Amino acid sequence: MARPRKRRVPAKKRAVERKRHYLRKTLLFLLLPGLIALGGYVLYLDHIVTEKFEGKRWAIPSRVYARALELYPGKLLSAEQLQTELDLIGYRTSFDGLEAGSYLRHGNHFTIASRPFRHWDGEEPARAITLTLRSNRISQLKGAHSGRDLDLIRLEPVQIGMIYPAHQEDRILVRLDELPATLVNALQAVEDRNFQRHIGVDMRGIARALLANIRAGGVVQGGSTLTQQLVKNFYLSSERTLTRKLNEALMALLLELHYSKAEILEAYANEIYLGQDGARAIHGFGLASEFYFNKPVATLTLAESALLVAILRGPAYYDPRRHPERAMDRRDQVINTLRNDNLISPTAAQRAINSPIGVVSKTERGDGRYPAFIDLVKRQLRQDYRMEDLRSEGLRIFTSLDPIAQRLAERSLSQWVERLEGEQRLKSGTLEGSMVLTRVGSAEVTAVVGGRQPRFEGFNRALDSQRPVGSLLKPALYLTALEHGYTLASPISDEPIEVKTARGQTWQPQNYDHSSHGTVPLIDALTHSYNLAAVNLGMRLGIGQTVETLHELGIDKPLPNYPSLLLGAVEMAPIDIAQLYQTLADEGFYTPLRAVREVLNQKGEPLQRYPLETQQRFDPESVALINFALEEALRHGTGRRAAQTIAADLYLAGKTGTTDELRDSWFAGFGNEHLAVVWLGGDHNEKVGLTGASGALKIWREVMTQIETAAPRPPLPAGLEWVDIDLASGLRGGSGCETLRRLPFTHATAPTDYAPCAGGQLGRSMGSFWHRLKGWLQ
Amino acid sequence: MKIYLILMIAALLLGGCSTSGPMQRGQTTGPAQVLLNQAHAEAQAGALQRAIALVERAVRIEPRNAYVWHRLAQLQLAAGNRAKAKQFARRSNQFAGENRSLKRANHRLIEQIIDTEI
Repeated sequence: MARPRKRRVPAKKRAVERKRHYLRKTLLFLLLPGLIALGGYVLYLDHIVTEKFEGKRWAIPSRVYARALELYPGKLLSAEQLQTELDLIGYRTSFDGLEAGSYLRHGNHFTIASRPFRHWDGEEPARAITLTLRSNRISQLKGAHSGRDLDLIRLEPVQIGMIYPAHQEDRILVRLDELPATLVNALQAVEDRNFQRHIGVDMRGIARALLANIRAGGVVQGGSTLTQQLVKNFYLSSERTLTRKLNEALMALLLELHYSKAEILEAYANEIYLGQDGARAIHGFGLASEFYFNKPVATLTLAESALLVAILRGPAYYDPRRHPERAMDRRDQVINTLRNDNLISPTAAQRAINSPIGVVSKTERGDGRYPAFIDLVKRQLRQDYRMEDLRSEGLRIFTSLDPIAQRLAERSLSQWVERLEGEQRLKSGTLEGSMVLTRVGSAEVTAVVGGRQPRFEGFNRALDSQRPVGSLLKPALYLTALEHGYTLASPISDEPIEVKTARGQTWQPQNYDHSSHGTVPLIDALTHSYNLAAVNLGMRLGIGQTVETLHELGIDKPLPNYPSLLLGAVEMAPIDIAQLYQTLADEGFYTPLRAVREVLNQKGEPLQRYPLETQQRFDPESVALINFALEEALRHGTGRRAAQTIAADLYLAGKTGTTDELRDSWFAGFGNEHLAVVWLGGDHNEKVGLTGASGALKIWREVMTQIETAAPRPPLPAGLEWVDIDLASGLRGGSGCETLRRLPFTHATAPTDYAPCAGGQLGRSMGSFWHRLKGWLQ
Repeated sequence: MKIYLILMIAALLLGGCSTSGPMQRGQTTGPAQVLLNQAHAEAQAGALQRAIALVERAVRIEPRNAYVWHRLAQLQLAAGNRAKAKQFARRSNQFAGENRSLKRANHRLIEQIIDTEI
């Protein structure tokens, strides 16, 4: 029995061994691909971990800035305007105005402590200044500490917008060594005590958290390390699944394998979500420090550092602005933890606990306030940059927006539109308007109003509303005439005229008052905007000549070569008209309008500049004559009623534009320093019952009289000669003439003969002069 | 090409010379002068683009200052932008009024550019 038994045992053993072998083989067979797959998966995760960490980690939005306000003695500036500017920059009021980024105002006296700022042409250091205003000018500018007179100070510019990545995350990148030690210590003490020792995952931490949670009967502590938190935010979605948790742990291990603790901590400090500002998500300690305390992260106190660490657990729940007590409680817990760990002294802890929460109220930042201007900025930048780069490269874009002028333009337009709408008994919301403001000389756009609701990011009428322009083109016609031998005194026929159009129809233009004014001097034809005179003259010169002048003045688009062009039967946007009048304001120098000055990269290094360019296209003397006529048009012509309230010593010149059935009301003009174009009308081409003078001019006047420095007309070119002209004959006048006017003439173009009233011969009257002129032209 | 290079160098030298010419100081005062002084220092240090940016700031503050436009013309010439330099010199002339020495300086600058263009 034993033998077979004996024999049976090895057989059994063999079977078991076989079985084991089989199992081992199967296991191996099954596991090997599993192991290979796992290895592959880890490699895949490793690739993800390193690729993002090595590459560009964050898409940083571009920041768009207004012009920096230059302060110097004599500058035109009111106390309200200066305060608005300081508030928009984000400076707070402080008790002495000497803490960086704060100011103190006593009536017309300011103490301002600026922050350092990197401009394209160099860094402007932080400074403390005192400034006194008198009669809306800076009368005194001194160093607050030295008491020495200062020549020129440049404030940091107001941030007026951001160009965001799709997720609207915003951050200011900081280096680890910029963070205060207390902040770094507090972060580790509260969030991950073993950070310096663990390998990415902390088993003891998990156990401790588990225990704490069981004791508390709920989740009070998380077991995630800082590395895991970074992985979660940086690489993974927010879903709570076991797979994700596993991935998180694996990736945390991999991250620790590749990078130092310092690198991981720095990434964490920049990644962490710390609050919400409307649609903008506040990430990283750098931005959070600005957002909550309005100061750079390096200058945070112990209490402030503790507060940031306190709120990162739940930025909405611990929002220090909405739930200050809750946030304070948690801040104090953080401080106590630091004290218990002997990272701070008990006195420092007590002082921090006694300090107020210190969060500044949300300042009214410029972001999102100027959609129409930002639109113009984007259009200029898109010629050189891809939208993707604008959204992610953290560019710093410096523009020419003047927030003071912009505010003035917006308010004036909105208030007048409302008022005029009521006066015209238009249905509420019918009347719309837009405005473009630029600087004479530099041709920089300082303000753009896209509609009566300037905050609304909708249809940008200043750039996109193509409307008939009415008489706004007439200066181009008369400039053409001056360049062809006419003078301001040249008699122009304002008699009815019939023009055969290309389609064989007859066009009979009309004057606004439906009457003819006979023969008028050229200057009156322009200042009173006579249509018949314009068509008579334009036909004589040839439409093509005026079209060419319009192109030279800066109109890029193709223009129709038909007679109604002379009366502005062509559609343009306010920005086009601004360019046209800019060339006049710049005395015949075409200077392309610009909204962007400079672009710096994320590190503040110069990337690109859009320099001033100009090109002489007209004889300055001819343009000076047209500008003189435009000054007359405002003071004594179509604009006279509105101009009555303008101070006599303020140089302003401009032209009305009115279209058929009073559908569009335009005014375009300039002074010594600024140029403005205003349009009013309906979006659906409704009749609004306004002429250029009864509508747009009122807004233009209100804005220009406030931003222009009271100064007389710039001196006319030296070559011009002033002559008294008898308007009846167009000849030299004298004391015996009834309609005598002193007019400027370019060299050797003034009439040499005297009018009969001035003792000249009868035969050399208007008629012969007219014939002579015709003779010249033929 | 060689001639062009020589002309460029000549223009640069002349541009450099004129920065210390009789037109240098005392032509303007206040904030514009502060910026012109800074621009002068930058130009001397070879940072022409920065110098131009500073003079453009001066143009914004005093758009009708003939001397500021003249400096812009000089710096553009030194930077090799002859067409721009010529235009800025013309612009300067417009505001020069009775300042004959400045007008002469502008004309010289324009002629110099025209000469090198031939």
